[in-house]
Amino acid sequence: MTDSAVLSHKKIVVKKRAFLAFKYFMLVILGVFFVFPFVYLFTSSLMTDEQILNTTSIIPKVISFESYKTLFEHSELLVYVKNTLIVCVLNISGVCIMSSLTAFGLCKVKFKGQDVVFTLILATLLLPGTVTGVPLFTIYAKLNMTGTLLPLWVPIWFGGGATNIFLIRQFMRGIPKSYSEAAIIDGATSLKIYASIVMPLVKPIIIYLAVTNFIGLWNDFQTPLMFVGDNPKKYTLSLALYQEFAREGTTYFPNVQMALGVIMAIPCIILFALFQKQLMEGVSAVGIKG
Amino acid sequence: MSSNLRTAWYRRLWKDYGNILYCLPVILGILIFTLIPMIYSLIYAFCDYNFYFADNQFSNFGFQQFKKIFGTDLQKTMHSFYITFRYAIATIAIGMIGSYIVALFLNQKTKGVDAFRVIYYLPCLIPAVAGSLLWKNITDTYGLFNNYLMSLGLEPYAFYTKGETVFPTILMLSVWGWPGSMIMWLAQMKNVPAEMYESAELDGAGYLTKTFKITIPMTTSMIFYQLIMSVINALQVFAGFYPLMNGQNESELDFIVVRIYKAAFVNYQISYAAALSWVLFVVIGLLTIGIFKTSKWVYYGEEA
Repeated sequence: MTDSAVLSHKKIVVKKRAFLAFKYFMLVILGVFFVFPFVYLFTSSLMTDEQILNTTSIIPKVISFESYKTLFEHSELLVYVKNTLIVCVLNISGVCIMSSLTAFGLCKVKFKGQDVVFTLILATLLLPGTVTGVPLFTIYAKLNMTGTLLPLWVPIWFGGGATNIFLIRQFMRGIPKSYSEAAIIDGATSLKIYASIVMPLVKPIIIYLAVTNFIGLWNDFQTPLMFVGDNPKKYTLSLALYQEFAREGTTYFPNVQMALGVIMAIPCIILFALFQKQLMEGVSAVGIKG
Repeated sequence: MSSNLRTAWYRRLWKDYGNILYCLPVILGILIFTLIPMIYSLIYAFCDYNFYFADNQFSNFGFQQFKKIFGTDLQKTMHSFYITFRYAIATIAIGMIGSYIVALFLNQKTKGVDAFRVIYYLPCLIPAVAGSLLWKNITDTYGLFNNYLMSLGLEPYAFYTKGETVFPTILMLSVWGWPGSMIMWLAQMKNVPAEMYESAELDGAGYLTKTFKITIPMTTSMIFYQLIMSVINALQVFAGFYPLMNGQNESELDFIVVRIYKAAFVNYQISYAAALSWVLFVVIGLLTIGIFKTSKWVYYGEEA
């Protein structure tokens, strides 16, 4: 190698390193920017009542657990947690069982009018929830279901939700026919094929749906606000955060609100961290041919 | 003989329609939770429905609700549509482009990028209500931002507390929602075959060429999905801003769904709310059809 070649090689290396350093610099800057609200959620929950009302820094002057104490002294907190858990568990089991059965019925077996059913499901996917919200409220009210948790989990058992069905169907279509053909020859019923062949193979997408649905339901505010409204016995955490801790006329300071926010975010963060890989894989199923 | 025929008929019926049982729950669900409510909602919209009187709940059938929406309330209606569309167009345009650029930046094989992705996504795990209260706290008159501004000798900014500054504030803070779409873009970008980039590199393609000729065309199906979903969602914006409403900013946060909610659940004007939701439905429907009609640019991959 000639001297000049070595020199230009060195130049390239230096250039590459500088570029890499710049990249990391940008990554960190963007990271600090994006993570800011999250950090402030956490730090402001550790501020005293006095500091939160006139804070000049994102770091608490003294670390105080005052807000958490106030929060845990609230007599109904465990009731809110229980309500939220009931809604989440009943919904997620509904999603996993019903949407996979429906998707199986849409793409792994045949019946006349299958396309019509699928088109109907797709149509509800695009239908704005607002149109059905108001009449559903009057129907639930007639059935004495408003102010209870029923409207928050019963509907999902009827099919499992259009988005979920759609995503599982996308995933199921990728399973080769040959897998189930052998079982058919052996005389297996379609239900057996569903349980023993298809279900194990669609596990990744089921996990994805369970996690994303959990996060969505755990944080949902609009549905409980509409159908549970102002029955304090049946508040979910999100609804309680607004009705009990934040609404005009309540006496809690923002540090208590943020403390509840932190507590609500923790399960979601744990789930996100645990299932990060499955979540990324599941997301990519969305974009495949519709 | 006839019983044989009957069993044959049953068998045929079972063969043709038996598997519909798998879809029976969803069919019932669509009927109970979508179609029947929609019919109810349509009836409500064309009468004066009284929620409180058990007898004579339906009266005065006619167009009066729509006359009210586009007559006496025209200004309010137009204002709500104006702020909702302004919100939707601005946040979708800025959000899709911005989050796509960040995703492009994160879609590299640099070491440690994965950890950054997780960090960027963390704020998206803050519950919507907690998030809006958090920003309210940060942007309050004596909140973090204004105390910083004042310590720099600048004038405090009204943010959410005054009508005029609400929209710029929403736009500014929407940036923190980008990582939500970012991970969707990233997942799709990962699906682009590496060979495409390799052969483009052999042809001497630079980063921009690769981005515009490979990455963007190969992710159009996700762009399309995100576009449709964000249009539907943005036009129904509610949860993030409802807790922020107060006397001063009410009119600037009076999105269509907020008005529907208030009409139905605060004032019990069920018919008015139903009529307004149908207006919104028609608008969203036309837009969705429009986007689908112009979707020739979407690429769904080789498989038929």
